[in-house]
Amino acid sequence: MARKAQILPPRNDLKRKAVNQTKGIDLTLPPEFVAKLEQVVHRSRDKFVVDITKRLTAIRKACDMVEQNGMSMTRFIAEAHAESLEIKGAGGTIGYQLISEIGHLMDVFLREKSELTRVQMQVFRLAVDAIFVVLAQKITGGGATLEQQVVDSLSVAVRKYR
Amino acid sequence: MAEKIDFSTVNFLVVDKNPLSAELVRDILVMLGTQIIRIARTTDRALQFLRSEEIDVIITEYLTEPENGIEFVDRMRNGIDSPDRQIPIIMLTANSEPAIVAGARDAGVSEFLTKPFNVEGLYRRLVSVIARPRSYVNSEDYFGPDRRRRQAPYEGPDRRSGS
Repeated sequence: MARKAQILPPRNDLKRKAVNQTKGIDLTLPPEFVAKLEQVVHRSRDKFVVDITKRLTAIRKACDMVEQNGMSMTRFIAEAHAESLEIKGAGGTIGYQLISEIGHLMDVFLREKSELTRVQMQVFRLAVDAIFVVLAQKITGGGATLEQQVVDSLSVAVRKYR
Repeated sequence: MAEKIDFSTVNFLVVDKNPLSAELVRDILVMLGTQIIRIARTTDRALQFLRSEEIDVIITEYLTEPENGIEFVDRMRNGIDSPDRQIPIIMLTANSEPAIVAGARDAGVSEFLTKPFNVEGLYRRLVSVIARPRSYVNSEDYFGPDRRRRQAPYEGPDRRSGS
């Protein structure tokens, strides 16, 4: 017979230690504190941009290597997928929403893949190139109409060739 | 009077192999007032911290090594060598595949937040694990925070009363 689930009451030691009515930050974050925290994120933007650029360069190099049979496809996909996730995670956090959108497309494109055709490699390279452009032009936020059209087109390509 | 969180009393462990991501989370926590923040690049190092220091909250990536984030959460909740089975764990990751989210929940993660994230989203998760701790469920196939978020009152007949 299946064992009955036991419900353990919430452990309150951390709450007792940290929650009070006099010292600290309100449970609902005050707007001035949101601004302070956003400044913290903003200060790390340059470092993240350098990091994303390094990752994109590594992906481009890996694309070349796999096409010249200098790297196995399995290793390429695993590494490129991991880099795509890092890029997707970093972009929007530092205000480059477009980078996260394209990074997400790269993530979806490579998920559960073990092989890429020549056309699929081209689509993937397009996404990498698009992020390079976003960085070079310093396009923060969601971009304007043209940028959204590029993302929409990439999205169609990802759906079609995935 | 409104409740506040004194972050200077809360010790954090950040598990992330990406140093920039870990640094960013650390900087946010420092701004909130936290004084003790440990950063582990691997889950093995994380376990060393957990065994040797008082850690109150874990913030972990899914993309960790040698165990992934779900395996790490599972080890914390169910491992016979777990330093603290009920420690609050927030998973902060760009990997938002439904299978990963469901896997993390079923392993017993306390909160899940996808990257890219904003500071308010992270803060809400911190408030949730510190100020609004949930009950834990201990059953044959699950140990972790109660996965039911809403406790809707039931006013119908009790069909198990045996009458």
